[in-house]
Order: sequence, then C-alpha cells, then structure tokens
Amino acid sequence: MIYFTTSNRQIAAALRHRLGLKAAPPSLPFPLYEREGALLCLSGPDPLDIASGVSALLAARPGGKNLLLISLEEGIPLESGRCPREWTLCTGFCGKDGRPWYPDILAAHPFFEGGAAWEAPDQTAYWLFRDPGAWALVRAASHFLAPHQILCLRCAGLEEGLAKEPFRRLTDWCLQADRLLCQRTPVLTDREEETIRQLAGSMFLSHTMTLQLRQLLIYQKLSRGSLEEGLSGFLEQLKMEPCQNKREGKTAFEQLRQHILL
Amino acid sequence: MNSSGSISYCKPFSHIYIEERAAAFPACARILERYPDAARIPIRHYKDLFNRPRQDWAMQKQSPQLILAVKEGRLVYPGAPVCQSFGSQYFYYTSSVMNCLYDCEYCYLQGMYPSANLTVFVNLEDIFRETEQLLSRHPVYLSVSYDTDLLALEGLTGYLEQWCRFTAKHPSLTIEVRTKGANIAALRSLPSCDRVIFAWTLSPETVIRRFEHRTPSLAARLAAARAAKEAGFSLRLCFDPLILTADFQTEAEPFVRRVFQEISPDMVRDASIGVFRISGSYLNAMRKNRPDSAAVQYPYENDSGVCHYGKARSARMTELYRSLLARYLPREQIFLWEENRKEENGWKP
Repeated sequence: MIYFTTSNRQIAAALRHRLGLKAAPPSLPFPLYEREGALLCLSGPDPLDIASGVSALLAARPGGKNLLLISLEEGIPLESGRCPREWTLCTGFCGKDGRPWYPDILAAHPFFEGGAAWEAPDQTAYWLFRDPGAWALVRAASHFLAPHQILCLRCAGLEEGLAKEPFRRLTDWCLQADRLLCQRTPVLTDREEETIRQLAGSMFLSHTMTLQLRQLLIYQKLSRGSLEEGLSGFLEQLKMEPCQNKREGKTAFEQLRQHILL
Repeated sequence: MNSSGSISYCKPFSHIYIEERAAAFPACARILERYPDAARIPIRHYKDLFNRPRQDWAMQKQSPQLILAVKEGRLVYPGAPVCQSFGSQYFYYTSSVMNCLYDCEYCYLQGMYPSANLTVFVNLEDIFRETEQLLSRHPVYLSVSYDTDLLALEGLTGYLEQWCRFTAKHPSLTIEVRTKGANIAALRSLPSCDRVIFAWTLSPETVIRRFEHRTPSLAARLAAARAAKEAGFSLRLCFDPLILTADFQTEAEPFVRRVFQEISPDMVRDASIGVFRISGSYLNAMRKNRPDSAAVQYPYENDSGVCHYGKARSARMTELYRSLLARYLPREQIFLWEENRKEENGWKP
C-alpha cells in the first residue's frame, strides 16, 4: 500500500490523473483520493496542517509494515540556483531547533539527493531546501512508521517535474519502491491462525499457553514447511476429537511439543 | 532500475553518514577513500541515526549503510556473563565497530542494537589509551571482535593490523579476534604475534547455508584458520553457538572429523563449545526482526532471563560435541559454556 501526501494542488492533480485516483468519501478533515493499493491525501500547506493531515491519516488508516508514505512537494531552494530543477530525494531533515531526522534510503533510485531544513543548520552544500513542512511531516509520520517507510521528494522546478516523462518515471519508481520495501507476507496464513484458535479451544489452553502453542506452530511451519508436516494427522485428530478437560488438554499439548521439538 | 522495470536495493555503503567530529580523524579519510561514489551525509551525532525508534533491522540488512563516528565514555568493558572467559581473570571486551557484514539469523546483535547499519568508531587510539591504563594495573585479556567481525572488515578499516601492532608492543596483553572470515590475504599481511588469538566460529555446512548468510563456507574458514596459524597467530576453534537442526545428531561427527582433517590438533590452542543462548529481551526483538527464521522462532525455554534449548537438551548437545572434540584435544583445552557456570564466567572488576 502506498500513501502519497501533498499540499500542492498541481501535484495532486497530476497524481490523480496518472494513477487514476478517485475521490474517497469524506472521513478526514482533508480530501482523500484512492484506488486499490494507492491513496492520496491533500493537506493544507502550513506545517501544522501537514503534520495533522499525516497523523490523522496514519491513525485512521494504519498500514503497519506494508505501507510506504511518500510526500511530494514543490521545493523551495535555500540558495537560489543551487537546487536541480528535477525531483530530489531528501536524505536528511533538520528542525527549527537543529534536531535532525534521517530516513533509510534502501531502494536504488534515479533522483538527486539532498537535505531539507527548517532553517539551514550550516553552510554545507548538503542542505538544498527550506522546508518546514517536510520537518513537520517526518516528525509526525515517524511516530507511526519505520524510517524506510517515509520518503520525501521535492522539485524546485515543478514545470519540468510534472512534465509527462519525468512524472511517469517518478510515479513508476514510487510504485516499485512500494513493492520492494513494503509487501510482506506473514508467516501464518489467516487459515492457520484459525487452526491455532481451534486447537487452543480443543485443548482448553489458557491465554499464555495459547501464545506458547502459536510459537510452537510457527517454529513447526518454519522448520518443516507446513503445520501438518511430520505430525501424522495429530492436529487434524485434535480438531476432530477435542480433549475432555484441561488435564487432557495439557497432556495433548505436551505430546505436541515432544512431536515438534527435536 | 533494471531493464525489467523493477528496482533493487541500494548497494551496501551507498550512503555514508559522517559525524562532525569524526571527519578530522585519519581513519575517516582512509575509509572514505574506499567509497568515492558513496553519498556523504553530515550528521551531528551517530545516535541521531543509529538509535532512531522503529527501525527495521531486516530491511536495513538488505542494504546496510555506513556510519563513521567517535566513541565516547567508557571504551573497554568487563566481559559479559554469557561470554566465555577461557580461564582469564581479567577478561574485557571492546567494540571499535558495531554490527557486521555477515547476516547470521541467530546473531544477538539484532536484539542488542536498534540498527543494522555498520558503525565504525574512528578513534581507535582512544581505545588503545584506555587499554594501556588497564595494563598498568594488571594483565588484560581483551576480546576486540565481539560485536562485529574485524577480519571481514579489515579491507575497510585496517583495524586488525593496528591491534596486532599494539598487542605486540604490550607483553601483558592478549587479544581474541572472533571471526567467521576467510580473508587469507589480510591474515598473511598482519604483523605476527602469538598473543593474538584468532577464534573461528565453525558450523556444519548445512547450518552455514541455512542460517549464516553471506558468510564464508566451512572450507574457506578452515583454510583461513590454517593460514592464521601458519602466520604465527594462536588458533581457537569455537563450536559456539551450536544450533539445533533436524540433522544435528547425524552431522556432528563428520563435521568435527572434517575440521580436524583440515586443522591438525597440535595447531589448536583451545576450543570452546556452547549451545545457542540469548537474553530474553534480545530474543523478543529478534523475533520481531526475523519472523521467518526457524533459529529465532524456536520455542526456547526462558531460564531467569536467559533463553536456551532447555537444560537437558543443551546438556546433550554439549556432551555430544565434548565427546567428539575429546578424540582430538586434551580435556583442559576444551572450554564449555554451561548455564550453571555463568557466574564464574562473568568476572566483575
């Protein structure tokens, strides 16, 4: 899942057009546009608007580890003429008080790189953009997401950045980064989770013992490839013929442990 | 982006984060020279990057980045209770580098550190100074490669060469370099000293392939171990951690036989045996980082905060290896890590 955020209406329009995003029913103070696997939040331009927009979005629709958040904005150069007029990936941020924050840049990309600061913390060529909004966004988003899930791209020349070819390259890369970084499958399927719930019921297990059972069966699946492999129908039998009481359940659980652990 | 339109991870060390103070150290310039194409990002303090909350270790391990920093505070620490002291009374360890190039599924570093990025401390001279202060009081046995693999990183840091020279100059210092490395060229170029103990962690090939990603093969490790001995260093073999697999029992004998076919027993200073054990809090973090690793997701028994395979099973695993090693080495050269010995292993100054 990929969430785009912007406060720029030109960028929002380009994104809606390129990705085929449709207006979603109003649920947040800011307009949302979406399609399967992608969503756009259009917030106000003030740092407070940006922070509250992203916080509201991530609280209302948490994506966990399978989410990539990408902020796209027009870049305001710290020194005129120093910024490339192409999309630039921000590799560092600096707040008003000098506090820094860094994303993890894990996916290979074709963009320029540089820093975005509330105010330039030093005179080095690293700091490219004056961007209080970027700082507000990363601070808010970092309460919800890992550093590799938050990316900010800025473009000092929107005319060039929103031209057909550069913008296609940008959005293609964003979608591919989402596939690379944020699409993971859990060890247990929903069906296997349900099997564990049934088994715990069949054996009269307490909450703590249910957690132990789950850990045991995760190990079983990882070491043998499936929940059933090598257990000679033990699990199926337990589901079909539940234990009569807690004592029987404990004995069955211990037998299962012995079967699974080498 | 490749031609099929999919993107890959950044190359390791494509980004180098440089602490302001570190930039002035010669080691920093030396390391940066090796990566002329890396993006250089200035940082105020390495903890601003290394200690961020909610980092994803497993993802970072796909594309580890490099941090160059200055180490502060205490630089040399007393040995931890879960580590073997090999009978040394004054057992210390130090970390000039945090994290490792290799990717072992069971590695405790993924429970100990919040980040998988490699941090190199460029002020090795300060660690030398603190070691000299300890040496002025008593002899020192110092593990210098616990939280990393200095042999694997020698091409990057050159720190082993400096440690070997430093050890050669201080007769009451013995250092241990724990490694899975196979950099024979580096070993042959190091200044020789028999108080530098190279300690190879050895595992059966099946365990290496399944759990010790990006590490050299058993054959390569054994060749490197032989080269280290031939170059004049002391040699320790570490059958530690022993990882329980379906083939644990059957592959132990051929594995140990192969080790001693390659390494003559008289080349070996000593050997250690220890089953996998880990602090409960580290294991919790490791399980989040490695949801798909059987080595990490094993339902370990938590015994006063230390998780292991259970006393009886651990004892059987240890005894199997002890009896196999006893065919080649005298008893006094075999060191065991056992739960009930952790107090005596953990010397406190």
